[in-house]
Amino acid sequence: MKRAMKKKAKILFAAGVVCVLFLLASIGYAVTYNESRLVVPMDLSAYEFTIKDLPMIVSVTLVTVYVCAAVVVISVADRKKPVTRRVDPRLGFLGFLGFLGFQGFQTGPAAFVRFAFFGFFGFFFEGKMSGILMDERYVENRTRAQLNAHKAAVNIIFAGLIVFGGFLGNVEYALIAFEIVVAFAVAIDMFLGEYLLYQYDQDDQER
Amino acid sequence: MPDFECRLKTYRQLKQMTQEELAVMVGVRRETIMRLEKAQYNPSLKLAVDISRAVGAPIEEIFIFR
Repeated sequence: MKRAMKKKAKILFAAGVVCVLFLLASIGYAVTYNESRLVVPMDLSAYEFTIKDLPMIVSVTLVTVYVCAAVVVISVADRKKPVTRRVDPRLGFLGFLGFLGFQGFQTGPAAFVRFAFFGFFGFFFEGKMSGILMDERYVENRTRAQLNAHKAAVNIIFAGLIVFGGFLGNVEYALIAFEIVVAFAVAIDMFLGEYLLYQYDQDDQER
Repeated sequence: MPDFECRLKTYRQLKQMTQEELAVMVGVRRETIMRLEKAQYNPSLKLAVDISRAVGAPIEEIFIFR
């Protein structure tokens, strides 16, 4: 299967190179022997066909057909093989950016939003599952993982509302508290979505 | 856990197919075939039909629900 895909890609690439070479040759011919007709901008309303225009017309048609064919081939190949996006697990280190949220205690409330960056730890698990076929079991697991992650995030926000509702006497503190809670909820949602998906997939294989 | 018996392994081996080959034929991961053979995954009707065609056996003989 992979070999067939590689062969198709090679053929597509070779056809592209041939088309581009033919187009360049046609441009060279038009510039040298045909007064740059169809190369430089010209008034097409007064256009009259001459036999010397043929190489340019054929090469432009070829390139157009090639681009259309390439789009079709690539989109069909994409549809046939839905795979997860390729992510380097080391991107998970971006999760440490979440510690920037502590700047909020010095610089002001807006920085607390950065706690949401803790969610980038999820890239570690996404990286472990990158480039795999998204079959129906994967889709099922992903839906289950995302559902549970969303539930956890909503529960955190709800709990935050109850716990920090007592701050409502001081609106400024209440807003800061809610900002932190929402940032953590977003982080949990991002992280758990990937973590649970990985766990479900591994559990499936271990059973 | 789905309460069914799966005889996919038997029919797959009769066809002398590997899990990987069957997985490619029906468009799933090898792990999914592995789970199916252990009756730990309840497939969709489409996947069941695809598998049935791939191994050349009726669905009701591959997946036996009690």
